[in-house]
Amino acid sequence: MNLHFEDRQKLRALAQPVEPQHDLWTEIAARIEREVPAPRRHFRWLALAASLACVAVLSGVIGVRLLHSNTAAHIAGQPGTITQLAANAGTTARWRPGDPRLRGAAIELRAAQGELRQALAIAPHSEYLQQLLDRTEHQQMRLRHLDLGAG
Amino acid sequence: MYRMFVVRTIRRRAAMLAMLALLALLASAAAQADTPIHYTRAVAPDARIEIHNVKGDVRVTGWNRNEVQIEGSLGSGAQPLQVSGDAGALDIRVESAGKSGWLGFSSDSDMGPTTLDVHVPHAAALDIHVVSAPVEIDGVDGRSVNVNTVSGRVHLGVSADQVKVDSVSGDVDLAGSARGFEVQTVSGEVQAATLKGNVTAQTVSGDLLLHGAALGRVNLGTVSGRIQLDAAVAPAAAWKIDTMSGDVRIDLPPATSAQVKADTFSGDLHSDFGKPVSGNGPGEHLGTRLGNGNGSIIINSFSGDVHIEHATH
Repeated sequence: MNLHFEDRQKLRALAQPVEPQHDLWTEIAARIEREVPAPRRHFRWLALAASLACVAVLSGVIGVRLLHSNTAAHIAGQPGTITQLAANAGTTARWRPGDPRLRGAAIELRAAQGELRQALAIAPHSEYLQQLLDRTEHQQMRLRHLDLGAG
Repeated sequence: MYRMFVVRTIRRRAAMLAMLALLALLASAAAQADTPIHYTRAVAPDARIEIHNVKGDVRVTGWNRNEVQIEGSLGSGAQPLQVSGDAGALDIRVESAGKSGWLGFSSDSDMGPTTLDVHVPHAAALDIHVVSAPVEIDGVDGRSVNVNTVSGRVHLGVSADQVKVDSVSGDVDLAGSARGFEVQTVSGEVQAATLKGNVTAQTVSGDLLLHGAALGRVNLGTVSGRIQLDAAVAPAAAWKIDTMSGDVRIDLPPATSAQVKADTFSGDLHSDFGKPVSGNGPGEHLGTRLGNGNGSIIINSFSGDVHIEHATH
């Protein structure tokens, strides 16, 4: 009777772990034994490469933070930001907030939007379901706005 | 002999260094301790009071004086309390000393909790912004009360004209009344015991548990949250209640006058008023007139059950 519950049951069934058809450990152990320890002279090059990688990652992080703060400042000064963000709703379906205080709500909103879309696929002419979906998208935009404000 | 002298000197210096380190630690602890807040200033009886506090507590109480009094303690790592504005509009802010932008996560983690116990003229308009700080407002009956919160719970013992709450996960409890009550949360639960006037409440998974007198315009929506509404239908009222999978229960007094239309796609429908009918699919439909049919009640549910019952009180 309750289709929604049945859909969830099916999804849960898909998420069950799959057992491998043969013992994989023998092959893994053999590959580990085949590994030759790296010559000591390569260590310097590895250290240099690691340092360069660290510098690159740090530069990237700082760059993204700067861009982010600029975007936040830009957005804070403009009216109608929510509308602009809403226009990009399609591209933000996979958005994940940088602020950990908002992540739980973001996951919940995404799950709710998925469930509403499933319901709309079954009952495509339900105006109220579309309105509920619109509201969850508006709440997601509000969360994005808060996340931008959090820097 | 010389060796003993050297050893004694080293011990003395080590003891002095330890003393200095201890003093520095004590000085640092004193600097980190909460700072008491005492502030009073005169304002207009209907002044707009805006309060920003990331974490700690915000308590606002209305009183019969035309002045704002702030008591409490400022958390470690916070800038001195910022109060700006004039008698008509006052802005009270707690911000981190380390970083500008009060909502910033670093300001949450770098700063200790601040307690604000604020007395305002009872007819003041309030605009409160918090992140995790719980908000308690009592004895305020001004034109508007607005609260923005992320996770802090909100208690509203108010009887303002317009009450509006935007929350992410904080629960909202309206213990007073408002001519217009508007609330949205993602997962917070909304409770109201003495509603009247118009109500708009939207949640994703939070429950809506609402009781009240005669309600005019009602717009309730949840994705999976439960909806319980126990109230009377005002003349020419328009109620719209939508949910995807939450259960709905509406309790109506016997003298209700309204057209009722309820639909479920796959959920069950029970009604003390009229008889639901099944269509071709698994859902049910109810269309009935109560009394003169002055008001309108429309209920839509996809998979949640709907109960429309006689109020027992």
